[in-house]
Amino acid sequence: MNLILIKLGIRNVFRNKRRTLLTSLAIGIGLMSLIIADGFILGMKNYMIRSVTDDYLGHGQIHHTKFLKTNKVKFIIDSPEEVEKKLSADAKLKGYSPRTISSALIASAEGSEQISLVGIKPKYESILSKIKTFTTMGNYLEKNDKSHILIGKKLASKLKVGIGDKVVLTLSPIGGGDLSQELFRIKGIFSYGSSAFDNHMAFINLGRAQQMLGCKGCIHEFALKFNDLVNLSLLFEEYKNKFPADGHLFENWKELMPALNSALELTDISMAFLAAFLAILVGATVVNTLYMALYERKFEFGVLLAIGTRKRVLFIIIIVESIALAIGSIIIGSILTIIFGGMLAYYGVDYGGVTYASVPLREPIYMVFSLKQFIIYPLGLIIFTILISFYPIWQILKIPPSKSLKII
Amino acid sequence: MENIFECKKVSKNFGKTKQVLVHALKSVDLEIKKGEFTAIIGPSGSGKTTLLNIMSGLDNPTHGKVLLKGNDITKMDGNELSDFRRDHIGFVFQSYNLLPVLTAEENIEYILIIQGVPEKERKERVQKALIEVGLKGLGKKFPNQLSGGQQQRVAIARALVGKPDIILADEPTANLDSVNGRALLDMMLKLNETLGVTFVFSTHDPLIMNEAKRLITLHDGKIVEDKIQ
Ligand SMILES: Nc1ncnc2c1ncn2[C@@H]1O[C@H](COP(=O)(O)OP(=O)(O)OP(=O)(O)O)[C@@H](O)[C@H]1O
Ligand SMILES: [Mg+2]
Repeated sequence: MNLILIKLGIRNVFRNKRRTLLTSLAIGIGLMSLIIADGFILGMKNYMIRSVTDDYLGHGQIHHTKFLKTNKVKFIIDSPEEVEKKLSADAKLKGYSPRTISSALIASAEGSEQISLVGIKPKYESILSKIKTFTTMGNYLEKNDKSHILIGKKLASKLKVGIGDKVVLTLSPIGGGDLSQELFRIKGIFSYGSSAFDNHMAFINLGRAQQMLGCKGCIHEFALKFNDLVNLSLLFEEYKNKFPADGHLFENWKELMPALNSALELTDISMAFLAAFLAILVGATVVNTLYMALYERKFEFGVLLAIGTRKRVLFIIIIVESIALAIGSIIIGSILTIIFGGMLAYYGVDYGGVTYASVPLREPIYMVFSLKQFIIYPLGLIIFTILISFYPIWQILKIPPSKSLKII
Repeated sequence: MENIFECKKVSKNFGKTKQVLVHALKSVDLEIKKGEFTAIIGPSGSGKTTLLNIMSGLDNPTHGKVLLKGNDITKMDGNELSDFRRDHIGFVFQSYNLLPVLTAEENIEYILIIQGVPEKERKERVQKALIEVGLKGLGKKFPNQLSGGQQQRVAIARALVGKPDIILADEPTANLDSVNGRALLDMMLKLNETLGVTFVFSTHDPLIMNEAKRLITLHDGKIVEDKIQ
């Protein structure tokens, strides 16, 4: 391969500047759409994962093997002290929160509702979840609060209660027997933006919950949060081994929220569809442009063949041209991506609290750039352009020079 | 003198069905000797282009053989034919001979590149060819910066530079005015006389054909006259 072949290809690209510009603009916009869609989906995924894990779930949880399957309060973690010892010794954990979970009846003068009552250690919980942040009215729980409760905003309005009002909690102890019933004062009202939380959740101090459940020191759930977000899957492996399914079981957020996980996988599929669709658009543009550009030059190609150029060499000359076109398009596309994607990365798109896969999109979603987007997609574009240009080139090479050299 | 080119009973039919079958060449026998300066003349449609195309292997005869120094080119495959044209034939067409995106020098050098000539030798031979066609100093110009006559000279330089056995030119002066056409022909004649380059070209122009040393007249696909003048 000689330099002149490359020169020939590149100069040919710049021959019809307007057509080249329009074509690379079209291809570049295709590339930009792909990268922005990818970055946006990435941003959305990150947000949803972050939101789900930060709001309440944690990155993973430990339960009695049967607790989540049956939802029965009797399945408490076998030896919570041992589990807690392991957790508190692990520097990889950012935090953990021990919880009891039971269903209860909450009643005010105005009515009663079935809720999920969670016993928490306020300090531990504030590291793990956002309850403290989302408690916008009144105050968050403190260690020594004996008869104080946090409830959701919607529950409060259903019960027509406010800060400082009294409610009665009724629940059945783990061992059976008489119902426990206690009076609580509303200390804080939280607003998660998710109806499951705002309608059906309430939090009290862990010790009080254990007392009402009639089991001192019992725990249903440890929610965990790790420091290193990049290597989560490795940590999941490690914790799977650390807490094998004998009595207690570690599960990561994907296992805990399979619906969200499949929703996120679905976005990958939609991304693949988008890529395929854009590929067709880009492909059609390349074939069309190249075919026009080549066909109007068939005389030239006839001359090249006539003076002894092998078809293979002519093929290379034309391929160089389409590669040059692809590279130009990538440059234009990257510039467009940095401009428009940068705006989306900076300002984001606000969904105004719409819920997707039961995750409320409270904050704007920002596009996320990654190096991969600027390697894989452009590379794919070049390979795709080369493959797609085979067709018009083959059509041109098929014309015998004695035909293409006819002037009329 | 040795024969470099021989056409033996060459016929060419165009069209597939009997009704539209065109007999462009009818059993043409032709021998070209080294150093000849031959014009092919004849009315439009008489088969001049077809004959030149077949001699160069651009087209296959329906019947007959084409021999270059004894080798039958009608039996060659695609790559062999490409290499044959590259190494043995120089080409000059009526117009648009040159690649518009390459300079005159680059257009000429192209042949040497595909022949695999090393760079230093290429540069020297290109400059020499430019001088031989009277375009010294114009090598850096692009075709659209040259006149029609200059462009045809570049085409001849390109045909010449690869040291072919023969240069075939299909109406090389047809797009030039009579002064420039005449000048081009004089230059070809000079190359023929000083360097011994063998030329076969077709023409309509009586002034041009009178300069030829050998004149072949085609009519209806047949050679009706072949004279040395
Ligand atoms: N590809 C083709 N298909 C069908 N007929 C053809 C084809 N090429 C040439 N012919 C016919 O063959 C005959 C000879 O054509 P050719 O082009 O060789 O003539 P020519 O002497 O070069 O004419 P001109 O002086 O106009 O260039 C003509 O009748 C022409 O119509
Ligand atoms: Mg002709």
